[in-house]
Formats: sequence, C-alpha cells, structure tokens
Amino acid sequence: MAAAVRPAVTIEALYREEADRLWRALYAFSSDAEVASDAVAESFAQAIRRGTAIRDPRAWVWKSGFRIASGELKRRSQSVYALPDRSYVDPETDTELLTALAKLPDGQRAAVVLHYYADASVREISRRTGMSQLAVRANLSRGRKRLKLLLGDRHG
Amino acid sequence: MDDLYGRFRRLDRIDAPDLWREAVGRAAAAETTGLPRPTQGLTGILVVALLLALLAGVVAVGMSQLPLVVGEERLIVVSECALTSVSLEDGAERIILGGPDHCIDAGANLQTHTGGGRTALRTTCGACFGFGTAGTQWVGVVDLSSGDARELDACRPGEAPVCLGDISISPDGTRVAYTRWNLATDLPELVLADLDDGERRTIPLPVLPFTGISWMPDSETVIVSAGEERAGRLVGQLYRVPFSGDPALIVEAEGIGLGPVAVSPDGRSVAYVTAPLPARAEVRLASIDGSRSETVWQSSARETFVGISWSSDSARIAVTEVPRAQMTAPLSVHVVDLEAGTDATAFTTDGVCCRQFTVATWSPDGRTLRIALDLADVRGTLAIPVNGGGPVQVLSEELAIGWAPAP
Repeated sequence: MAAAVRPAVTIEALYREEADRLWRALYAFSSDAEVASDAVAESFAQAIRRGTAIRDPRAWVWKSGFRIASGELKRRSQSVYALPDRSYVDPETDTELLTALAKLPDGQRAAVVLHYYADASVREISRRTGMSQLAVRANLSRGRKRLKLLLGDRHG
Repeated sequence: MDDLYGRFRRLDRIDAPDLWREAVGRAAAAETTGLPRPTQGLTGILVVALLLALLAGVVAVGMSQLPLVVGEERLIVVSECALTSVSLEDGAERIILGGPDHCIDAGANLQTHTGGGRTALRTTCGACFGFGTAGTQWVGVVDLSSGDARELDACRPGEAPVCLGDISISPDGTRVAYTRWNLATDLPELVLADLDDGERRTIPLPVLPFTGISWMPDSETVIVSAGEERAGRLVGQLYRVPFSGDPALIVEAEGIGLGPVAVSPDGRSVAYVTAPLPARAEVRLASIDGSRSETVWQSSARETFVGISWSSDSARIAVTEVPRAQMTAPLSVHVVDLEAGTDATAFTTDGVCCRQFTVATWSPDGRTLRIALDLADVRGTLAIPVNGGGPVQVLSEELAIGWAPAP
C-alpha cells in the first residue's frame, strides 16, 4: 500500500522548526557531531520518503533520530576500530557535561537529554524513545542521580 | 530550580549544521531504486502465493492505553530504524540492531521468525530503506545477543531476478530454510542453510512453494507446503524435507491450495491452512507422517487469510483470521482446543481490518496471545487473555514481531 506523499514543504517547515534542537540533543546524547548529523539527515530523509504514512512527523523524526544514533553508537562500540570521534567540537560545548552524559546507559542518557534539553514530559519522552512511561521515569530518576554524582553533586 | 537545566540550555549556543539538502538528497537517492518485476509466466499461482505472503491491510479499532503487563518476557520489536528487545517487566529497550542502514520501510512486508537466540528476517519492498542496499529484497539472520546481521540471500536491482519467499529458523537457531523463485527460469527452490558450518543445500521443488515452512523440533527436518496447477485447479501438498535427504510427500489435497503450515512443538502433528479461494479457509491437522488428516477449524467467512500458531504444550492452536480484501471486515483471533474439541473467539476488532498486523502468537505460559496491529488511530501490541478478559495494550506505537527468551 503506497503512502500518500506529504508535501516536502511541510517536512521542510518541520525541519526548520526542529532540526537544530534535535541535532543538539543528539550531539549531547552521542558526544559526536558526525553521529548527530547523520541521524538528523537520515531521519528527515526517511520522513520525506514515507510521506503521510507517518502520523506525527515531529515525534517520528525525534524517535528515529535517537534510534539511528543509538544504533550507530552500538555499532561503533563493537568495532575493533571504535574510537571516540571528536572530529568537531564546538567551542561552546560543555565538555564536562558531555563526558558525564557519555557514562550513562543509553536509556538514561536519552531520558535525561530529552527532559533537560528538549523540555519533554515523561509521556513525550515515551513517545520519542519508544520506552514505556514506567521505564522513562526509572531512567530519568537514575540518570539524574548518576549525572549529579558525576558532575560533583553541584546541582542538588 | 535544578541547575542541570541551565547547563543543558547552554547547548543552544552550539551552531547546528544545516542538513536539509543532505536529507533531501538521501530521500531522492532511495526513490531511484526498485525491484525487478516478476515475469508473466507465474501469474496465477505466484500471485496467490505472494498474496498469501503479504499479510497486510488497515484496521480501525477503539483501543485505550492500558497498564503495562508485568512479566519477565521480552518481545522482539521492529520499529523505525531499529530492531529492539523490549522487556515486558519494565518496558526497557535494548537495541539489537539499528542505524541508518536498518530503517525498515513502514510499507515493507517484513517476516521474522525467532529461534535459538537468533531471528531470521525477510524484507520485501519495492523501493524502500531495507536491510542491505536500498531497493533490495533481503533475507538474513540477526543474532539477538550481539546484533550481528548476516545476509543469506538478496534480490538486488539490476541483478538476476530472484523472488524470496518464506523464511524459517530452526528451534535451536542453527539452521534456516527459505524459498526462492528464479523468475528468469520460473524455477522454485527450497534453500536450507546451516548457519554454523556454512553448509547450504538448494532443493528444486517439483511444484511452486506457497507460504509455509516449519521446522521439526529436532531442527533436522522442515515441513514445507507447496502446490501446483493441474487442469486449472490448485493442488496443495505438504513435503517433509530432511536437511540431508530427499523430500517426501506426506499430504496431497486436490482442488485446494495450501497456505501457512506449523509443526506442533511436540513434533507429532502438523497444522496447515487450506485456502480454497473463493471458498472458506480451513485449518487441518495431520499426523507428521501424513497418515491421518482432519479439519479442526473452518472459517465462517469467505476469502480470508488465516495464520496459525501452536501453544507450547501442543494442545491449542491460535487462528488469526483477516479478510482478504482490505477494510471489509474485522480481524479475529480464535483458539482451537484440540483436547476439548472446542473453538472460541478470543478477540475481534471493533472495526474493519487493517493496515499491518502480525499473526497472534502464544506467550510461553499459554495464558495470553500477543498480536500487533496498525490501526487507523492506534498502533501497538496487544496481550489477549485466553481465558477471558479484555485485551491489554503492552506496547504503544511499536509492532512486536516475535518472542524471545531474554538474551
């Protein structure tokens, strides 16, 4: 069953609204600009291709972006040649925060980034990550606690 | 106010690159690929076979978000750009395979079968982001622990046209069976592959394979359903094919075609679906040597697709029935109790059926059935209590494609 084509201008408008925030969230999630760029480009490419088959394009690009980045991080971690890729580090980057985030498990990291950076509610994090709301709450609580510990508990 | 908010806000000072043109370019590149079309020589039977394989439609069901089921099982879930393992205990996800090369098109016909810690996958899509190169039809195996994906066969645009059919992995996860058609020669084949030592057999089938392959519990033999056209009529057949031996015909049913097939977990019986279009579909049960065969369920409607799955104690069969024409009737799940000789309807959608669905499968304890539905307003996975009670939505949005022990 072929999906009806959603006008590209609609997706472009969504891109203009969301892409920068999505990219920064993925950058915080992955600590890697290339992973973030690849995930953003691919998630919007998929959204263009799928047209109206996607009911909620905004939630979809966030969800697929995080999935793509997670898969890429996993692939890199399994590679013999896996090395942290810091080919691009913006001078504004809070490297201490990113280093601490990198020490959290994927689920906790995604929940923390979406909550603190993207202002997403538990329900919204659930929609964007595919985790249940129960899992989001657990990951957010554990991630917040661990992050504060890693950052020297200066944010209590 | 938690100062973590302030630190995260500083992310806004970072310049994000403009990737719109890159996204448009990637989308356009995918549009230019496509699958070769089947030759005309296979028309009737092949079309029926493919239709039986393409279990897809659109359902509108009123479902509310219900509490998560507590348990210790995991579901293998296909979703946007990832194959994941999801705990039903706390909903936690573990990505098995994901990334830009593994974005499964929403319209792709995805078939999976899990056994022995591995999942066998087949994607069928004309021009989509699938496993392997965009535009390919692909069969392969994914290790659920490591996420390693291994390609077994593929139909790539521009190469010899091969149509890949059903795929099934052995219960111990060491062997895979799938069907393929060489569309240039019209030759159907059954391929048996050993995943550990690399041994591979290609067995020419005397007739066209339909959609059924099922392994025996010992992982040594497969039962495959097939059929041929005789004087304008479809004749269905079940073959028993040892990994190292010749096929043996065990059941032949004139005047009908055969659909899905499932060997019972105890290895004593084989359930199979006859699809005598346009008559009513039946689920029949045969002894494994084919010496006895009986009808255990018959559809009350005409022209329906039927999927089957066994409970782990080999005592019950779940029958998933959907209308062949999309959006004409509800989807329903029936439970056939072979010992009691009864059949009961466990679940029916409120409205017409459906854009995507999976065949209902049993939980290991036999107390619930799981089915994934893509509805007009809701997409998710339901747990259906077999002994009464309403369905519970266990996953929202996600389409669960199989069960697996927690790896």
